[in-house]
Amino acid sequence: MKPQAENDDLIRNLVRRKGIEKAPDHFTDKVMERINSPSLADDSPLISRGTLLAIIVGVAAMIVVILTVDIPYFDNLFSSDRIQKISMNIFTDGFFRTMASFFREFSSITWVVIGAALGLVLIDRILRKRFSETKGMMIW
Amino acid sequence: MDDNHYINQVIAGNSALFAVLIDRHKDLVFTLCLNITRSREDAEEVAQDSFLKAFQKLSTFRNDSGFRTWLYRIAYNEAITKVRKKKVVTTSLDDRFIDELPDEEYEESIAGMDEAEQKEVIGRVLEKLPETDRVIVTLYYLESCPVREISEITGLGESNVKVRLHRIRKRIYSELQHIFKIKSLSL
Repeated sequence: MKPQAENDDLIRNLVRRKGIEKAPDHFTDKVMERINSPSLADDSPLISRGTLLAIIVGVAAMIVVILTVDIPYFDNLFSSDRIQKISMNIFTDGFFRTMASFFREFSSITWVVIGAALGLVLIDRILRKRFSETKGMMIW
Repeated sequence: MDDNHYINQVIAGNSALFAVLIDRHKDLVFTLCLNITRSREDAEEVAQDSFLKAFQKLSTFRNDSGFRTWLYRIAYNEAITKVRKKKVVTTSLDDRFIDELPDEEYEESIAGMDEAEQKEVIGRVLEKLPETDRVIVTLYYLESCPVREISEITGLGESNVKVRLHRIRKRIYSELQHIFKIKSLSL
């Protein structure tokens, strides 16, 4: 057998003789037409990476504030006395009655916080569904 | 201007300049797709889809491996997905005729052919190779891509690409042998 380089030359010459296939006429125009079509524009991300980052940072900041900053309302909400009282009530008054009395004492701010959290979960669900429908075409 | 200039312009919002990138790479992307799909209609569709996907993902392009490699990898994956959906059966060659004919006789036989005959012969030989091997032949012999780049495009390991190249050489010679035997019998 001949050295590999010489064998390669024979094959290379033959393959180059065959050459490259030309793309069909108006190929570029067709692709650009698809790029500029409205259906492709709809595939743009619903929220950008920056917005998503801002939402995550916002939620994280809210959690940090709730758990660390000295706000009398939150101190009251998560005080050990209160939690202990609730725990004990579960045994004496029953779970549902205890929870009902617990929620009755919630202020409007607490409901806003709970509503915001549920809203974020809902938004997350909707966005995930929309993203999966677009077959991973999103730019993250 | 190199590809990166146009990529930056497209990412900045001048999407019309993507046409320059298409013009530069469309022939080889189409050839790679044709190597795999074996149908001009399918190859055109897959090549278009590949450019569309490249456009959509352009902002994620990191330039670690060069735009050409990145684009060819997209085209290769798109074409393979298309073929798998269609379940195209590829024909493999056997090596039974290997080394039966001296190398000089190949060269003499090939040199005795005119250009059209040479094109026909290599076309018939490549037609019998599996699709990934045809892509490797195109990238290695036509585009002079290094083994490392072929490895990135196809997702095969570098040693795997080298082994395949060796097998491809043997198979091409085997098929040439087969063709020349048939030709000599018919004379």
